[in-house]
Amino acid sequence: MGLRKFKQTDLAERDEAPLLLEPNALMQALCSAEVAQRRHSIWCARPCPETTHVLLQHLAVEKDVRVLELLFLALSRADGEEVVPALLELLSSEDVLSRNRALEVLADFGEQVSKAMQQHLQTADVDKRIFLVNLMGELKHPQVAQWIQDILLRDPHINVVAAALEVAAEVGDAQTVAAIDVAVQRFADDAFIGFAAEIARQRIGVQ
Amino acid sequence: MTSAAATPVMAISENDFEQFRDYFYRKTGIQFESNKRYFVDKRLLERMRLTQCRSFREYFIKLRFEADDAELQELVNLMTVNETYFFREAYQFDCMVNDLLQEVVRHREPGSLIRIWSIPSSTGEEAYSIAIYLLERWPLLEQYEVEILSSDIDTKVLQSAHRGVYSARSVSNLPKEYLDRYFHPAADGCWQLKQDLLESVEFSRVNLCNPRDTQRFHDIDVIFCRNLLIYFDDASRRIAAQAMYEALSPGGFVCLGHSESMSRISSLFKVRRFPDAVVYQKPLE
Repeated sequence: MGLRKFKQTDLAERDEAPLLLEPNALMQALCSAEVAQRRHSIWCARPCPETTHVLLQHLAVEKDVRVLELLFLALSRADGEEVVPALLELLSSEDVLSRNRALEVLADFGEQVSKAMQQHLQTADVDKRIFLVNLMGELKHPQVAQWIQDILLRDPHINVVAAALEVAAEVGDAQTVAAIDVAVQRFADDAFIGFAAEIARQRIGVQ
Repeated sequence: MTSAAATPVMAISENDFEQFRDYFYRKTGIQFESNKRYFVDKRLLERMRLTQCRSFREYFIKLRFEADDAELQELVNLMTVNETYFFREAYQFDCMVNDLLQEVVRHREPGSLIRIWSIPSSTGEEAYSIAIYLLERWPLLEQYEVEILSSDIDTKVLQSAHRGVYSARSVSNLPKEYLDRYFHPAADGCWQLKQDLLESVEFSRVNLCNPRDTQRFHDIDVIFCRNLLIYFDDASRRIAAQAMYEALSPGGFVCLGHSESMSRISSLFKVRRFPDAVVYQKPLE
């Protein structure tokens, strides 16, 4: 016993070919009652549009956090055109983990998210608008500053505007400052908005 | 008469430092205290100069919106210390022999296999350190079969690990008796690992972010993955965390670098605090 010895002059090679699960086999494996089996099937799934479709279907029914985490990871590596609409809908979910994971994944799909952003910002759901503002804070997209300005100028809800001020502090420019001033006037009675606006101006570089 | 254009004076204000510090912490988990101002400012100004940014704000927006994180990676490389040597952060090896392996063997028959994976291997110091620690400081070694696996994406460093020749600086943390026991003196003040120890580690080329590469690693009891994830972007960190979770046996442990945290990457691991170190555990099913 003790340390196993390896006789090798070359680097160790794989002793078996990696497993690549086709979409049909993936769908079957996802019906397993075993968490490890469901995880392993996602891990070994062959990336393709049909696999994405299977994973999105399964997202609607999966409850185990150990599988969900891997499921979201797999979706983050899939085609955004399919994935983004489904994940944007998930922002209305009651499930905190699913919402947070959806936000993380969406942050990597700047271009596809930008196409849907304006439409989703029209939602009457205040929480969803806040989540979308949080998403803007993570997006690498040239339109982020413009969206933030629009919210500062027009969004009727104070909490949405407060979230936008936080993002403005990081990505804002001279035009954003003008929008910040309008937000402060719109919510003139709220001390927090005034405070957050001041921080944002300082960060942007305008006292 | 024309006057020469004034060169903009670049400086990092207190406000700039705080903004950068918060952003860098969010992206990497590395926290800079105020006493690191000189260290951080110097490197930031260097990058600002090289990227031709005229102000911190300009540089920060560039950093923030860059699609491929290339500039962030440059910053990470500059801001992190990048060296390896024998018995680096040895408190985690202490934790391994004092606590982790005791838990692992609690559910194992004598004679069973224990697997330890060191990734990235770099030039091998970590994997061979693990071997030496087990030989010298784990009293139960002879009761079990222990396999040490070590992987890196860089084949040049793997070849160097195979050769097992190390500088005086690399071995300077080793007690003299270990140096005498496990090494021969070599040319130019270097030290050559003895054959017995060279054969105690299996090296392989692996990209931790490629599931096709990591699939063959399973039933691992302890993973050392130190000072690698700080170099990754968020997406790669998540993949790496899932790869480690898949590779681990239930109850298996992950040791990260001292400034790294798994909790910020994945919620699947349990934090375990031992007297020597904080590590992460895949829950027992």
